[in-house]
Amino acid sequence: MNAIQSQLKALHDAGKPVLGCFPLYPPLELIHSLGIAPAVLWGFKPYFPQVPLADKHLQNYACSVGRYLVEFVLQDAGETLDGLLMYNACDTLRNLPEIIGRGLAKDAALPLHTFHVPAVSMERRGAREYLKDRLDGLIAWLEAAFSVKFDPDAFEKSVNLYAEMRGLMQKAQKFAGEGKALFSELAELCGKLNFMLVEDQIAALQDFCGACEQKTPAPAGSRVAISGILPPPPEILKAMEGAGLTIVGADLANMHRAWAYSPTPSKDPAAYYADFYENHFPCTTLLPTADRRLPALESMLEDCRAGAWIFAGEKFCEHEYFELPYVEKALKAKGIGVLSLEFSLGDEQNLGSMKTRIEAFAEMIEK
Amino acid sequence: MAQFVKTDAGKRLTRLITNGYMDNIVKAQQGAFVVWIAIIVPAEIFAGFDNVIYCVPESHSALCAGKGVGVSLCEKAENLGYSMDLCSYARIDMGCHFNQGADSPAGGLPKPDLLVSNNNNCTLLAKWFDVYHREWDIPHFILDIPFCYQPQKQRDMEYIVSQFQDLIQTVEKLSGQKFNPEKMAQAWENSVEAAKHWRRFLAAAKNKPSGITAFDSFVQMAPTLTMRGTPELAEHYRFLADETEARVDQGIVPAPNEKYRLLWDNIAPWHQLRKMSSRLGALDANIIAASYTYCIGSLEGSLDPLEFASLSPLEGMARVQNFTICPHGLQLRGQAMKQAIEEMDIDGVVFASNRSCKVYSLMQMDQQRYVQEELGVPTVMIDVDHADERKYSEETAFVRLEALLESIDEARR
Repeated sequence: MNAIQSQLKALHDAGKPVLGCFPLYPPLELIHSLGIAPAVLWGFKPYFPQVPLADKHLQNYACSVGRYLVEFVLQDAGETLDGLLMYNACDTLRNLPEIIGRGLAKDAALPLHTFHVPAVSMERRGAREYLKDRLDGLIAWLEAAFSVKFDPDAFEKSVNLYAEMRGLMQKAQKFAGEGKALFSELAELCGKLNFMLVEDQIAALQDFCGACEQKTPAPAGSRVAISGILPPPPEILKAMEGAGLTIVGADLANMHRAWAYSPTPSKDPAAYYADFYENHFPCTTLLPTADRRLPALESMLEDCRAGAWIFAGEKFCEHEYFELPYVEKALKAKGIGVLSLEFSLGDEQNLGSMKTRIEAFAEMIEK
Repeated sequence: MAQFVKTDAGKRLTRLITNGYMDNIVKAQQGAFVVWIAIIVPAEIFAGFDNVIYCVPESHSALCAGKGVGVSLCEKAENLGYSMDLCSYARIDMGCHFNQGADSPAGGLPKPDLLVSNNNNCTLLAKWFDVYHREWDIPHFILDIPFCYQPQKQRDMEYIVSQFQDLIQTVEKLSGQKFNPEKMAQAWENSVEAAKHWRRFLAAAKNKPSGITAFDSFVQMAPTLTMRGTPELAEHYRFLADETEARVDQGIVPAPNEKYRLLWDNIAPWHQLRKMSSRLGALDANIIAASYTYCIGSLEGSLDPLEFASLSPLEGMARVQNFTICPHGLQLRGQAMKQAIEEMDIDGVVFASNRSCKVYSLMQMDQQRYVQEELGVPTVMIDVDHADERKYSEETAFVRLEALLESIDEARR
């Protein structure tokens, strides 16, 4: 059992139903408020060297996110997960609920709910009402599947906890930017947070920030920001830091994109999540945020005074790659140094050449 | 051996398609409001305006691939920085239109005034159209259509209709033209009529030997995408179905020595239509049907024709937002395939694993297991790309196809 599975098993064994959610921006506050532990099934790469069970269901041109996710759920076979929730994002992930359903043995079948988040602005006709309907359906499903009851006060309490967690995340990222922590350490912590209760996330981040406050800033290297669906593998992050790069911005789907915006607190899930999805920090997976993406990225680079940008591409992620040429062109026009890397399942053998590229890039932007 | 005699409907199709592309260019030059759409977007809506035309980049990319310029256009997009892993339709389209229509056998598409995509056939299409939205500063209207793991629900239909109403207002505002619902209703009637004849055409595959090949249906589906809502489409499909039925009555069929009746699962390999059909014909094998085309004009998870009598035109158009296979979940795809196998007495299924279409392909391993193990029908999976020939190996594919025919023989013993 790997570290993530142990974390989830601890939650499960403590008597809390664990709901595996994918992709990254499900209604966590709502799930938490019902006494269910939401686990965002993302970032399994460091924990699985191979994906033999997923390979029986997915061709090798599916992205590693999908393949690791299927591997995790099929290996787990209900040992720690008590249910699954999926919302619409990309073409690969939307196929997974039924594939997972077929892959699990009949006696290990999990309750599964699919949830459609409007992929248009909430200002469009019918979008808010449709989201409300979907949320009502989700609440009804959660109440029936886990014998729980929705409570607006509990929801508001969960909303506030998540807001606190997001605030701490921003603080932790600031410390990393100031050289009081290595970004690779923060990324490693973030990888684990998805599998913790928000109360434990807050405690872990408080510890992290507390330790940072005691530290003297390390000498600053060349300031860079990273974009991607996932952070690069730990070895690559360490190679970046070893090459003298200070990662000051994390336009990563499980980091800054996930916690940059906290909606106005509310007891009403429909109002809260309309705000959440409408004003979410732009992510390539959230179609209505596309027009805001480049300005938000440029503003982030400016705020954190990053002079260079590294794209950590996940092979076969169309959502990221359709935007790459445009973003690259715009940033280069502003004099920002750009490095594009690509990661895929099983690329551990090829990290050497990537390290060489990183070193060369670090030398280039230093000049 | 397959007989490659171009039918009258085939000749008619060539004229229709050629004229369609040329007409669009001329009308755009004369000031028509041009909309680029994803294939499922309800084109009948645009018929409600006096001078709005629509173009379908996916269909144009398929045409480019079929005419042998797919790879060169893909390379043009790759040279602009677009990953080789992106859908080849998108790469062809960007390669063509960021080079002023270069290499297009149709002279390219007239530049759009509005882009309309949806996210149920494939989400990446919205990302693809976003590229033009950014580069050319053209408005992009996304239709948010819930994916159907189960047949469409009433609430989903209402949500879709509300978006159609929004789309109509958007076109009115941008084009300055007034929408006429009666003209749209007439276009919808034309589409319903065309679908009826399409089902009649496909039914010729039930004949033994089959009256058609899936390759015929691949080619003939083009005007469903580019001429939806027109009386010409309904008339063409009436002609096609009549001619096909007459040929079957006269015993004129594409593979008279048909020994193997196969079903194809995925988009057509546009660059291989003639070659693949010919080589299979030499083996007395005929791919008589395809999931890509058999779902048109039917309900999700079934081949039964749609019934529209109780629906308004906008509701009907919302109801067929799942008219291709890609918005269907695995269970629905399995149900339809089971019906197809039974009704057409299929001997084997070819699963074409298509690197450019994840939404179609990433269910196939489970679907293949279902067909093979639960329906007891031999299957094979081959690697293809619908428009990028570099990702296809003919010899490798045929080694596997021949193995399928052997396993069908084995099952018959």
